[in-house]
Amino acid sequence: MKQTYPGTYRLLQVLCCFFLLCFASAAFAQQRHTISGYVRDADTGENLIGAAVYDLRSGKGTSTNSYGFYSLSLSAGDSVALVASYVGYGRQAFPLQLSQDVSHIFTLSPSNSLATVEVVATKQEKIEETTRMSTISVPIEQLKAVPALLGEVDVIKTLQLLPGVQSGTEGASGLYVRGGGPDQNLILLDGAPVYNATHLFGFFSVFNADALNHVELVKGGFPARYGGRLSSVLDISMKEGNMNEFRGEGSVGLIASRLTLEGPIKKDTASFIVSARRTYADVLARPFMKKDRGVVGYFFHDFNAKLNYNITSKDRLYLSFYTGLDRFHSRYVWDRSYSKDSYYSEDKANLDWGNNTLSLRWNRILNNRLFLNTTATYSRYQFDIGMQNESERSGSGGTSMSKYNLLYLSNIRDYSIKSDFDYLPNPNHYVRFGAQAVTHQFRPGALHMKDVDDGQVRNELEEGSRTVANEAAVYVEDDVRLSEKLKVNVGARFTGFLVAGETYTSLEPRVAARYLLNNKLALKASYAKTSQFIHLLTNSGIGLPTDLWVPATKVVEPQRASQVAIGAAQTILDGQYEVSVEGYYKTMKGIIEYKEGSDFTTTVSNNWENKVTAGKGWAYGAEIFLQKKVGNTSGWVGYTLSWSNRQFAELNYGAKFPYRYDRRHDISVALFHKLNNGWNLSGTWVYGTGNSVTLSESRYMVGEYNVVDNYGSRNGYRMRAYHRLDLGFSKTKEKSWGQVVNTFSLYNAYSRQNPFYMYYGRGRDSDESTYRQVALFPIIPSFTKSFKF
Amino acid sequence: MEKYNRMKYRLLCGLLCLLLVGCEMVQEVDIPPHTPKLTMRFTLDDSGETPAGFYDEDRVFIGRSQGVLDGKELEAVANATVGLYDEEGQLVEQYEHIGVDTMSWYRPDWGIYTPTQGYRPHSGHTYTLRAEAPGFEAIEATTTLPAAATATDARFTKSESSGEDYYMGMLEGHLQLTIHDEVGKENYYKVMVYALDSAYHQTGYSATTIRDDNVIDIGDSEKAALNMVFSDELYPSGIINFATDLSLPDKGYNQKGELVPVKHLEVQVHQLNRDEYLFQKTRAAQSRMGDNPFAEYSNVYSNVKNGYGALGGLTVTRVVLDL
Repeated sequence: MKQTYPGTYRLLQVLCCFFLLCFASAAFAQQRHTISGYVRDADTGENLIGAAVYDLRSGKGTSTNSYGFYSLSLSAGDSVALVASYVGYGRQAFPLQLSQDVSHIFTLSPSNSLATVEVVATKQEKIEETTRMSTISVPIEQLKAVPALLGEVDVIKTLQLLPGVQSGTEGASGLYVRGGGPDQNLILLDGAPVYNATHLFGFFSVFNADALNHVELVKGGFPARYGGRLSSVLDISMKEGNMNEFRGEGSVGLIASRLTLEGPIKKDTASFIVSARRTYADVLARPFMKKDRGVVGYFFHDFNAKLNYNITSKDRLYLSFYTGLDRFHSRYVWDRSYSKDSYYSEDKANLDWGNNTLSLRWNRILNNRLFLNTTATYSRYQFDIGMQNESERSGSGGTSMSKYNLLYLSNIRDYSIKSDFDYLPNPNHYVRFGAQAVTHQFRPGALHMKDVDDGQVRNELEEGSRTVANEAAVYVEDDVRLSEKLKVNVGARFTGFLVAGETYTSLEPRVAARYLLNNKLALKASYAKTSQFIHLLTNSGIGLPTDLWVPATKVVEPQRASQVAIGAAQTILDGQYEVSVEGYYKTMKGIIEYKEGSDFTTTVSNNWENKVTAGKGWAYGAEIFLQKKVGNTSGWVGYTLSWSNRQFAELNYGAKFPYRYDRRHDISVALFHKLNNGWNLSGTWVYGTGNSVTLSESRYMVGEYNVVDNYGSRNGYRMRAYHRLDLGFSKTKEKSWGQVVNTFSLYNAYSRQNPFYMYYGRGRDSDESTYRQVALFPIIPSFTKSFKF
Repeated sequence: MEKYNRMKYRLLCGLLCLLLVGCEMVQEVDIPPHTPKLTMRFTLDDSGETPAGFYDEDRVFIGRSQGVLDGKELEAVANATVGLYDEEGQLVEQYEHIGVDTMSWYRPDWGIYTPTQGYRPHSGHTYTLRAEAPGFEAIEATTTLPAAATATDARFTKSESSGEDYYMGMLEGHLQLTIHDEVGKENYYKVMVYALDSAYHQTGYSATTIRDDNVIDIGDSEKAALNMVFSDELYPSGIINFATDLSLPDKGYNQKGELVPVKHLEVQVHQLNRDEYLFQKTRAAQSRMGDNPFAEYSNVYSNVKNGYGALGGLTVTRVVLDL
């Protein structure tokens, strides 16, 4: 047992007593009846996540869980005016006399415009009412309205516009949340982890927005149900498929096209959705290539599918699948004849990477206060390089043939099973508890090489091994209303990790509280301890597909973090605007970096531990977020002031240094405006302090032709500040068969030369050696045609 | 068809223009002013004579540093006083500048110094190299020569050559060798193979591993391989069974400059001290990093007081094989 916690068992005892008291108070409470059921979209039958359900008379309410389920227990005999509401939908009422337990399904109709008056009248769970902090949900429609690079709607790039979330370099889809690294984000697609969420070296994310239902990002104050990563949880749910009628949507863009089809398999019982996306740069370029000489190409594709089956009124099954692949491939042919001799050679190479995920979920309403979801998932991320050569030489000396094959791959596979219970004994408690078991299989690097000459094996090499690690966790949390003003979410998560005979454990207390100062203003605070038993080996920090996932081992311990946050939240101007201010302080230990001078290009399974060094990190800052969710004009303004530092005994002479993506100031503005004639305008503007960078300060020679750079303090310099304006214009045309949306967007509208990277040397325009920055994207216009039927 | 070609040309021009709009620009960076310092580079060895293949490492190099934005070509230092001192502080060797070739356009040539006393350093002894030059702070570095490696069971099995290198044929085969490593101590090695003529003089060529030509080696950088510095971390048993397929020209030049056949192979097992190992590894890491603008930086190891560079040490064990 590597880690022991003084007071661990005392803490467990306190938590057990707390939850027993909660359950006892529920049991001895006055006679209550429960109203439970689902809130669904009237058109599609899709469950609505986070919809508010409340009693107009008593003011008590709840919200739907990740499967659209709600449960509300109220005093028996009361006259109840139950109302369900959801942003972008008309509300629906259900009046009743509560004399027994009742089951009811709300079906809300989407409203064409987010009319201000309608939404203000609804009692959506307001920002100042929830105990949760550092959590943001982005509506899919808003996400699709954000102007995108080359017209490709990108979930992760939209999240980068939120305070506390930073992008890495220009155009990249990495997430850097509150000073954490890209490996510290738990990205879940229908409950299955996605280990590399980017295409094309990070320029696009793997999530096809047409297939998504709900996106939620948790930056801190993590509820106990989440674990396994230090910095954030990105929980993405796919659409379930239209239960009522066959529908489709798609788009044709500059670099990719998408198509999504959904519909009932059996009305109100089973439905499906399939969605595919593919780029076609390789197809367009093919006519320009001489096929007899060979071809070069690149593409990526995604395919999502989901089946949704109502077995009974209490049981529901979901089966969802995702596969995505990036492939760079080349084929080169050399075919020559010289008098009587001929030589033929064919070289093929490919560079592939991609994720596969599969999740099977079973929802069961055990009783009207207890909901069970059991999820079994499989996830795999693999990167591989393949090279093949076949050559044949023939002539007067006879014929000789040779073949050469090389395959290098690295992958990580997860098999997981998890049960989550939602227990709602009364309006003052929302208890969640559950357990999870995961088997991780790591194969950080494997190499197979075979060299055959005239049928004889000349060289053969097989290297790389597989490491299996098992992880198990249990958790319990309760969202408890202690008084009208004070509400607390308290919980704990206990995790064990077993790898190669080494056991690590982690007890993680989680607390979040809100205190209402008045009807519109709340103070909030949270504390969360988190552990991460896997590491990402990366030298670039930009999320390349070649980065390797490895487990904590006897030598390299797990990553651990503690985060405390305090803040205030308020709705203003009749609830049209939400404003929140948060400050956070996060400490991290066990984070790893390559040692200076390590040969990170030749890392295979058996040697990575010797090449890394472990250290500590600190991140702290403040975030301001002003959001307008309703009305014809919506959007947000975010500002982050932050510091993120690292310290490693073996790096930078042991001195503390800024993290590569330490960004002092980060501003983002996103605005969406809907005109009456079908036009929609959108714009985003971002500003960020330049990324930190290490530069050579002096140079010297150590012999002839042997120049050495002498670098200054690690990340001691800054690139130029980053800022960019993106604009989008779309026009929706109603057709007899559906609708068509034409979208024109401008990425980097004023063509700012933002730094992508810096180098020292002579430029094209001068013989003088100096530091130069390379900018990647100038102004990039794009046009996308979308359709829906 | 003409229309298609015109369209293709316009499309390609358009794409090219789009790529060039972004491009690059000079970035002003506030680098602190740099005070030039002396630099040194030398590898002490116990060979006592110039072994086959040594043409640079037995010469001391003295240079000077300069700020990265200075803009001038890097220069060496021709007027330094360089001496080697033993553990008692006695001067055991002096190094003399080879002379300035004022016609040479390549000024770093001016930094080379050669020994004047013929002193032979001893394994296990510690030495300090000092250099001073007008206008600079004096520099020094100290290092200890490691024990010599023990190499046995060297065997070369000739195989049929698969190709020709210009006008010379190629000599190919399989080399096996056992290095006896001291268990419980971190040791560092490098194996090299040189071609010798019938008089046991070098012919000017050294061997390369055949795999270098056609394999992207994604193997372990600490694995024993020809011409590569490696540590004993992967060989805890104390026995390093070295094996490689190698190739080198089957002819070379004798001391008269005549083309003669290769008759023997000289296998050299270098045992490096930690200073030399760290310098070579970090130097290689910095070179690799130069191709990747996103990679974290890597400083090159230095054990020089008041300056830059490295003084390393190695011992040479030779095994000569007849062909």
